[in-house]
Amino acid sequence: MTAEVDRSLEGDKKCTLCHNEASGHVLAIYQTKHGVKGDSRTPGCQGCHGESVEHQGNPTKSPDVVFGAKSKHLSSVDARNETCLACHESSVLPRTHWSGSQHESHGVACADCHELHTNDQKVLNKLTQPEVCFQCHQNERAQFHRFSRHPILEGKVSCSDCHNPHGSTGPRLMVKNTITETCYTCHAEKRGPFLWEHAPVVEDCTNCHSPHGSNVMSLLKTRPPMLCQNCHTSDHAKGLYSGANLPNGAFVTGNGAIPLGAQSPTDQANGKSCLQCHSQVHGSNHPGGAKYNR
Amino acid sequence: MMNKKNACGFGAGSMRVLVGALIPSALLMVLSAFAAAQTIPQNTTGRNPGTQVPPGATVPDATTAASQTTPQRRINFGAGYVSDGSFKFGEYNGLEKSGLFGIGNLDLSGGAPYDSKDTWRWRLQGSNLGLKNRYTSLEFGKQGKYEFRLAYNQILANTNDSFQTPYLGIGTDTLSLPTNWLVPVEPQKSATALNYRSLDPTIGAGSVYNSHGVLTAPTPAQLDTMAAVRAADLPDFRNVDLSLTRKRGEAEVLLSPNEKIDVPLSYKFEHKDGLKTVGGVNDRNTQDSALLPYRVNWDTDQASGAVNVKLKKLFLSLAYYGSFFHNNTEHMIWADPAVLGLTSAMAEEPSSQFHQFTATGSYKLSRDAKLVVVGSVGRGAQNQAFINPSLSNEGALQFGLPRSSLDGVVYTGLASAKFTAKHKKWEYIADFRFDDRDNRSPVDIYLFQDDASLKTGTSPFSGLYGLPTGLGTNTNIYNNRALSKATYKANGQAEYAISRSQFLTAGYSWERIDRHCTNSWITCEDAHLVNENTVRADYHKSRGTLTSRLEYAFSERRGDYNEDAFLAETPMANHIPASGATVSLYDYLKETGLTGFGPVAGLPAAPLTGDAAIFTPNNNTVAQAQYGTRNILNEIPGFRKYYVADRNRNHARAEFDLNGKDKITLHATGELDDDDYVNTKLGLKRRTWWAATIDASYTGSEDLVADVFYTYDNQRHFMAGDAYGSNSTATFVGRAGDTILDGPCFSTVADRNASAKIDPCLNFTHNDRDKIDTAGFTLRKKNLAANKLELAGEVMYTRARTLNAVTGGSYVNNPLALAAPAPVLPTGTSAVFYISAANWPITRNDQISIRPNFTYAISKSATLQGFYWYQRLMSSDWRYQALQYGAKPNFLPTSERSPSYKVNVAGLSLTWVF
Repeated sequence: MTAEVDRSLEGDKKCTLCHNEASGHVLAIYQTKHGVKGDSRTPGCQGCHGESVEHQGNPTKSPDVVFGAKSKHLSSVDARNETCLACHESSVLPRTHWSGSQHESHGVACADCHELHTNDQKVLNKLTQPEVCFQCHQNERAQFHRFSRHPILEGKVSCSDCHNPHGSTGPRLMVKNTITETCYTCHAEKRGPFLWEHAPVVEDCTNCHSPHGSNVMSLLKTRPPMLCQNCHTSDHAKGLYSGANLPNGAFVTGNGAIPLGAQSPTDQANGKSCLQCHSQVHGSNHPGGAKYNR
Repeated sequence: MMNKKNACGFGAGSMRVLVGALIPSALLMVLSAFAAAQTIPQNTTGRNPGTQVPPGATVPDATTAASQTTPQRRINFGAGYVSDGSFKFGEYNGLEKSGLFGIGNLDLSGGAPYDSKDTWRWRLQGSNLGLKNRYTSLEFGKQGKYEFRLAYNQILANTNDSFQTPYLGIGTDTLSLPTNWLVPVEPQKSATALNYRSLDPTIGAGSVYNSHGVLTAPTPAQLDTMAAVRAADLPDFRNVDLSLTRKRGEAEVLLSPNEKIDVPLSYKFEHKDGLKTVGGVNDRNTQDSALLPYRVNWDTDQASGAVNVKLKKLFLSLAYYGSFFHNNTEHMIWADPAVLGLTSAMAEEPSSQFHQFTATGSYKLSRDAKLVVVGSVGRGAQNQAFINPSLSNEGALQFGLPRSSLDGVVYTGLASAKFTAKHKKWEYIADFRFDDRDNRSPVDIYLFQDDASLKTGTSPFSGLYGLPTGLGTNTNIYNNRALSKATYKANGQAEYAISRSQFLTAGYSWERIDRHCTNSWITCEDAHLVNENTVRADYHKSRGTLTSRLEYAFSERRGDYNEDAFLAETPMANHIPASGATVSLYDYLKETGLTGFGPVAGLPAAPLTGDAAIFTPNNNTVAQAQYGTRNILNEIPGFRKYYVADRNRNHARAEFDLNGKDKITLHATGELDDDDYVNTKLGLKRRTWWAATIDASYTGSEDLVADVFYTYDNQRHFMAGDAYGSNSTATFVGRAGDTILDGPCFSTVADRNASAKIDPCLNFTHNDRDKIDTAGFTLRKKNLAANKLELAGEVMYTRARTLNAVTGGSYVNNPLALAAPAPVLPTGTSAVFYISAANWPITRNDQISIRPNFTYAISKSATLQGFYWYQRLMSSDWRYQALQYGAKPNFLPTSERSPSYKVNVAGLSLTWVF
């Protein structure tokens, strides 16, 4: 906004004379950081909504900048974001990477996620943040109701622990430069460097994991041994493992031709499958752990 | 309000308020500590089903200007009851035990009035106080000058409460077996070999074929032996709860000495403690495996700081991030249940450090043009001492170590530049990114025996090329690999405004990945150079209440796949073995043009001679001993690892949004990813994922909101494999007459064996598919009962299916086809059966939760809240089958079960606003 707008309480009074305590929660702005008048940077009504001269003269005319999503006078995304970025692009809580970010280029407005006239912004509370993100990311909402998931719904991990919605140097808005660096902020034990590194693990955790949720254990994209056999095809990894290899399966009982007990349920097809022995797939620091079993 | 300053520089009035707030919160914490160790349940807001907010969030609207402009203080307390204990239900919410639990939340804030010149403010928040997943935070500061935030966050993550183990010493780094432990055996099969089937009185007592091919029941003496084993061992198995507790403390400071400079600082400390399972394998007698209760005792410190300089058009930042992981347990030792007195050892995750400096600069070239440049360098290091070979008597490290620790170092780097501009109807983005992981860890040769396997034979490299003497043919002679990767990416995008409401975007990006290994004697990566080109287009229209968007992108990834990359791990592949060969394996492969798979052929017409007979006898894969490994490492020609394989990717997304000024809003999305690994003959050939959601909201009035959504998610992985065998001249199984094979590809054992490597009957496919339906509904009605009552409720349902379909088959010998003195099979009887693959049982997880709740306003400052929560999970998973008693000969049973549950929770709490 222009510097000429009156950010003072006197300036606000032009608005609060009408938009008073009977107007919903407009005055709750004064509970928030944007309402601290002792801070010269706080914007005042006109700092965000514009000088709105026409609106002051004729209430049927809309303010210069309208944020209400359901208003028929809703301002354009650019106009709304320009208001916020006037301060937040580089001076107050700078959002340096916003420009050209996925959210910016998809037409997301700051006010789509941030509610300014409340001291309980949903997006800033880990418990309620998913409500905001799931408004657009609806497939992810479903994924977080799967058998294996991060504790997003309990507020112990939040979307913004991994993603920076304002843009970042990482892929997929990761808060760090890479996906693995982001995962290491909680799973530092997997960082190494290990003596025996596992190439897909070092590169990208999502080669094997679905971080938003999975129907199988440990957030895996698909379960072992199938997951492992997507990359391993020698020695016992080349084997065909199927339901026939389970206890009482056709292989174990010889299609009924061999009495129970004659064959053993195949190791790689049971329990934790490959991980029953190769448990150190994230890397091993044992001098004899080249095969990730130590 | 003017406040006098105290010595700390805080407003004295504010301090009084702060102290006043801390007292009730401390009382609440003490009270909560006496409550059952449970957490509060969550209720809903009537928007976005399935998301959760704490009770107490819904409070009466403030009606006066004073109350609207003054931060409200809120305390919520009460009690609830859980009907049934379930670790899975309480996986993260702390409600894993049945019984009473306490409810406690608070949100207190205060400070100088908004119209004061003083900018002092504070806020104390807490949820689940005194409970295992408590959270508290305290924020205070003078806005624009300094701000502090202190937080404590704890979570209990439950894994399983049905796990059983006989091990002692749980929670330490040494697991032992009870002194009365007997090696479980099925004496009718072997008097000494480990066989956990004996733990089940029915399965263990099964009949077996004796050496004459006669089905024989166990003798009374053998049954007595098994009874003795069960009597000794079964009581040793006991339940151990598997869970991890994470405790995290955070401190953040934002200093703003003036409007042009910010200095944010933060420090986080985290401690993880508890138990999880890891698989441990032993191999002295029989390859046996146990899921071990593995102690987690980890500390992680993270520190960050930055100096941000904010000028009119220029923003500069220099930042530091450090992460320090410390594992308080260096290794784990466990007793081998198959060989009494033998122990095995595992190295735990090594302690490590990571330091990173990042410089960021952005410059506003004009009102609509901006340039952002970032440079980042990092250094990760790990120098945990290797496990002392003498700590375990497994003999894995009997040949010594080349060094006492890795002294591993990884340098990371990032350089990126992004230019964005708007001009009339156009918007442009151009960016470049370079990302590097440079592993400079030293590379050495490590000699080891797998698991606890005894050394056999003599390696053809024993005593040569600087190696010690005494190496066995099954001794692994391995190089570690220092995996490095450099990624270059350039991207350009332009958006054109067709009209005020319609926009068209087109973009192109190029990415090159260079994988390499420091000090590797040969190219170590499956794909050294990979290039990916992506084109994309996006059309969206936003007019009035309607927004729609269509996106499409196509990527083509191609690389130089190297089927001999596995040799980088085996340095002896570059040396001539002392087995009569004239060249090294690597030279042999170069001369012949073969890969480690050897010729794609059956048995040669005439016996091979010379190097071929040594390296690829019978046209089989290269012999392990000839390059110093116990296991076959090579890949089948045509096999591709999916994360580096050539790929065509299609991505499409459609979105429709009717954002009502009216009562109804509709939102629908559909998304598709299709990865076609075009040059992959074996391995993952295709991954397809698509999902669709429809979400509708009805706002009847300010008092009535209803939401409903449905999502269908479908994922498919299709892979092809080859369970090839080894060509051999063997013509029968058991006795000379046992030659008939029952299979579609061959009719005799001899024919099958001669072409075992190219047997088409050993080709197989996996078709793994997830089909998941998720639906939710919420309803919220306010201002009932003279505006005092609010009702809300939520129903969530997830129906998840994982289907693993398999085609192909496997051979299994007829157990009656035995060597003499067993008789030859009757004429026409198959010596080998061909067993068709069977689909895996469907993995099912069906979950429903129903959560109605109410809020009743007792007065302007007090509300009563009540809730009921019913949740049920119906789960079945075949992975547990082999973990039951008697199911597997060589898996230590754990008795873990699929975690189905049915839980009712109810609670009542009071929220006091002041």
